[in-house]
Amino acid sequence: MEKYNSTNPADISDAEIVNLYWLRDETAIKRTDEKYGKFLYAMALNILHEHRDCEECRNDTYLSTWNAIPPTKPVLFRAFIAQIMRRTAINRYYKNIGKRKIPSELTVSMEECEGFISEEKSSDEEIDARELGRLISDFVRGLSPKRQYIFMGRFYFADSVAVIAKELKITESAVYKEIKKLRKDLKIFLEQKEAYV
Amino acid sequence: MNQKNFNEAIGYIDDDLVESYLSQKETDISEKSKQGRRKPVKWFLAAACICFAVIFVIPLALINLGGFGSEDDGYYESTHTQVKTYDELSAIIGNDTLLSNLDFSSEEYTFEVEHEPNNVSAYHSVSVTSTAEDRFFNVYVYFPPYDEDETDFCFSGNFKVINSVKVEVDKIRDDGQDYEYALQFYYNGCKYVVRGGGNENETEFWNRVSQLMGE
Repeated sequence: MEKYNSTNPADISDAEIVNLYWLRDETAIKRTDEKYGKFLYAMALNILHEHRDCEECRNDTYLSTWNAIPPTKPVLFRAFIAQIMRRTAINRYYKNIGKRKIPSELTVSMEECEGFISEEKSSDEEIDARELGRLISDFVRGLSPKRQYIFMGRFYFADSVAVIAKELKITESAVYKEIKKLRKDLKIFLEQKEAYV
Repeated sequence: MNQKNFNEAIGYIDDDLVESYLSQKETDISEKSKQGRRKPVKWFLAAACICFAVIFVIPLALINLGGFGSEDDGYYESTHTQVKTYDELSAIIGNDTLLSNLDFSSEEYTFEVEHEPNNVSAYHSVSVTSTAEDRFFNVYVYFPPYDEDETDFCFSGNFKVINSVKVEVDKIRDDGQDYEYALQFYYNGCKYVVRGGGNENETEFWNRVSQLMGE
């Protein structure tokens, strides 16, 4: 028998969902899908722009979450599954990109970083992604709330400039300007930390 | 650093930053929906204010002040001048800009000069715009000295050389039906920004850009 029969998926707390995973209760996946399925799909769509790929990535995310909890017990469950989804979708993106150019927001946001990052495989010195992620986190923490929002929206969630502009009630041109400044500031920040290759 | 490396690193951004972003997004959306619910009250208050103004305030203002208007309206009028033809425009700014390459007889254009208050000969920029039902084309010319940041409209870092001029090209919109471009470049000490878009073939836009560039 199911432990939660709530009609509104939002009624179940994240801690309760994590607990279901912890107890190896398979309804955990159903509850995750009810509460965050659409959110995860939208996130994948920004990156992949392809219905079937998004569906598959969402299922892979549920499986990875099932395999990760336990031993992991995430405190911020939504951010935890978002991170898994992003990684899954990005892997799929790079698998697909060999075949064709993907008309997704991720492609556009990466094009905005031309001059800052290159398309080619890195040369001799590859920076450890986890370490670089930590540095980027430090950089994001130092930004104003508005700039944090633009950075996360554009580079983490690959939201479109139009969406970010609408949410912040500013013009698209202002968002482009901020992105340009963020790119420049991040480069300087990483150079100072000697992490820019 | 390559794209894949950068993307992987972004994926390692701390969970609390991700959660903070999502919470803010959620709050904004719920705020918007609350605002939506408040709209009928807002509209009622606005309607009441308008009625009050029409019945009492406007007649009194007209009687006592002999007219209406604000300082802001006056300021815009004093710093922006519209002219009807390119000949009138060139009488102010001269014929040295690339605008002289455009064929203004093919479509209706509007011309506007931005200048120091009440002194059109002390101009800062001009804008030339044509708007049809299915497309628009807009050229800004910023004369020196101009603020680089204030006049930036392209952030793509993609460049194209047109008639020996390096032009930054930013495709702002392309959803399969509509397209919109922002272009910027420097010529003869001036900064040019071209905006154009529509829902037809892009060739029309590029033809006009070529014409502007004197190709």
